[in-house]
Amino acid sequence: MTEYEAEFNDGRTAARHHVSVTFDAHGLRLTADPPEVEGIERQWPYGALRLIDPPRPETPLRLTASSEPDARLRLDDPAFFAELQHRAPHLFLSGLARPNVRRNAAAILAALLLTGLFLWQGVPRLSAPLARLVPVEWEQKIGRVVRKRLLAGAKTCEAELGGAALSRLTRRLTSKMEAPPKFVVTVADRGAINAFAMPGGNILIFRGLLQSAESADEVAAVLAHELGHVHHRHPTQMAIRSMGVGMITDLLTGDGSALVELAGNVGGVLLLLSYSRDMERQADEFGGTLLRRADLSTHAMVGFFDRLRGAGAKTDGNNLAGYFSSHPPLSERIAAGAKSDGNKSGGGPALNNDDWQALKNICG
Amino acid sequence: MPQTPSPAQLRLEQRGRAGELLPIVLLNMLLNILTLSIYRFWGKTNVRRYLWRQTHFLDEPLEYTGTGGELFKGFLAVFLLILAPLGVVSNLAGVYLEPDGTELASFTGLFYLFIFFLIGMAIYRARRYRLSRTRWRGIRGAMVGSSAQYALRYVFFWGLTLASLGWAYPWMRVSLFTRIMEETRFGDRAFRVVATLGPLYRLFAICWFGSFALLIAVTAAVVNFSSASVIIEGLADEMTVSPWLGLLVLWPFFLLFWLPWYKAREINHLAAGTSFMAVSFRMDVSVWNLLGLMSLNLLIVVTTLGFGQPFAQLRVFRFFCRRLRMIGDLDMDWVRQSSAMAPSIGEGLADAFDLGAV
Repeated sequence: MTEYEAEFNDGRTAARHHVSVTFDAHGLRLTADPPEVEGIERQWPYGALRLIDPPRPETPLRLTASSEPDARLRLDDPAFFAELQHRAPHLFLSGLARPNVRRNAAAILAALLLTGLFLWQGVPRLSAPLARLVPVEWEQKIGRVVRKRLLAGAKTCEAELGGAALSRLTRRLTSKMEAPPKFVVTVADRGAINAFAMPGGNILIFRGLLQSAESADEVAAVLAHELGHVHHRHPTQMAIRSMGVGMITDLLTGDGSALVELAGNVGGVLLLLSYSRDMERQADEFGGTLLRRADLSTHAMVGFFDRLRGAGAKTDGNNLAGYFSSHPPLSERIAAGAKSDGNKSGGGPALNNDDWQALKNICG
Repeated sequence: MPQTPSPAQLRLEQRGRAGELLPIVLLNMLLNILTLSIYRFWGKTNVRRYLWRQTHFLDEPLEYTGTGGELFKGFLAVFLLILAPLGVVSNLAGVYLEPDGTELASFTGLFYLFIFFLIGMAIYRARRYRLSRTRWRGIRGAMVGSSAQYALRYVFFWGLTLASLGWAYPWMRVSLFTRIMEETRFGDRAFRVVATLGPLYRLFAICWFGSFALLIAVTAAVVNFSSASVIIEGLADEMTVSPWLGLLVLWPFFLLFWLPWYKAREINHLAAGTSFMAVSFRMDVSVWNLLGLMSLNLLIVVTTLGFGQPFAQLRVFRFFCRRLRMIGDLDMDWVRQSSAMAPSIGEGLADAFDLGAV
């Protein structure tokens, strides 16, 4: 039986001991050299052996045992290396053959899949129940921040006659609702064709939208649609979604500083994401119900969409980029609008002509 | 059989080669891209294993026993328990507090003070993790102090340094270094630091007043070139202050210009004040050594978009090992295993704040 010379550290002190190592049926046997040194005897089973580093040429082989992970055995002899390879081949596996590499690879893969699944399904599904948990007070504060950003310095329009017309229109829309949500409608002096619902029931209509509408019915349709977003708390859901997505991205890249920078930036982030198809459909359904109850045309919305889409070729990109890019006129929705009962302005126009003109000129 | 090496043998030796590091770095790059950067914890571990095992003392290599999984868990823990709540709190504050009120201003102040505290904590904890995963002859290192206390000291001294226009800086460096080294253990043995402030302050004073000399020289040059003075005035207009005050705002950069001279002295001075058992340390670093190391490392990291970081680390290891000398007799046989608690997961905070390149 061959004896191999080795250096041994017992893991209790940094003192180095000379030992001789032999192979037997079960493992490595370590004996002190000279034999009178006490406390060095070891029997390391093959299954307990661990290589400190993968073997490399002209580098001593360093071993430990799982029973005493602080201990170190160091050997220089190539013959020992060959015999160990023969007796304990499991130590010399490489790459994916090693169980811990396989385990890590599986863990990383699982983490990636879970993250993807969470982004794809979890965040959208959680946003609605979470939005219901947000106190209305907070929503209104968030809404104010977003509103400030959207206004971007533009003034709000409060001409007396126009304001009265606007409140008549909103009253007509919501009078038949059992529990109308709290909301405020404001017109902003901006030319873009756009309207937004913000957390907390703030609805902002840009002057451009009023001017490109052909009738008060069309404005009523847009307003009803936005009220649908308010009712379903979609703006708050979107804020929660974008925060969720931001956090997951940070989690992946490990960039905590980005998270800190996010402070107070909710408004900006909110605008980065547009409503999902499902949300638009919900808002349409709600808006349609509202219009029907108020005896208003459900076709006005479709007409407005169609006309602006048709005009898209002629209008410069900027003008169309507003409302109809964030509210893409999906054929599905148009079909749904057209299919719903033929209730075409059963109760007359949304506003009489004087009121409609006043509303159009609300910005003076 | 106790060893009695002659003092000349007491050197750390870094035998790593860039050529051997390259395949490790390339594989890390590939796997980082494939896993959307989640692999970085394992990649970092592979690089450390290499750097550690190529560092020899008394012909015995160091050994890095940390794992990627530990770093990953450390990161997850910090993200979920500290960063995510912080993000939520700061978001809510941004929404809930009046944008132009004093409330938001004082919240922001406290928030960044806390971040600073966390950075101090991160420095200490990362060091504790690395030492607990560093072995030589089976004996591991340790940090035995409290990271919160270190972080408090860190925040206090940085506040003092800012308030004193830099004058507390040498004091801070000596104090923090002493603290961190005296709480460092190899096995059961402590490091000792006795470092005076005098030599550091002499050089610091020269640098500090030198920065004004530089400022005046530059100002004189600016006044001579009217086109440049237009720029300075434009800058001052932006900040609505007089041109002279505008120049004063630039003063810290002039102070930074002298920093390498001070740093070289500081490294040598702090090393000379440090001892371990009967061995005292010496570092031999000149300002040109230091500038050479830093500028080339910066070039390596920038031109490789950060992927070359391990090569810069290898250069730092080599630089340190080559310039560190140990004087005295060292009988390692009496060093016993550390009984300090070792953290089970690591470096989440340091990773979050992008600290600690190694």
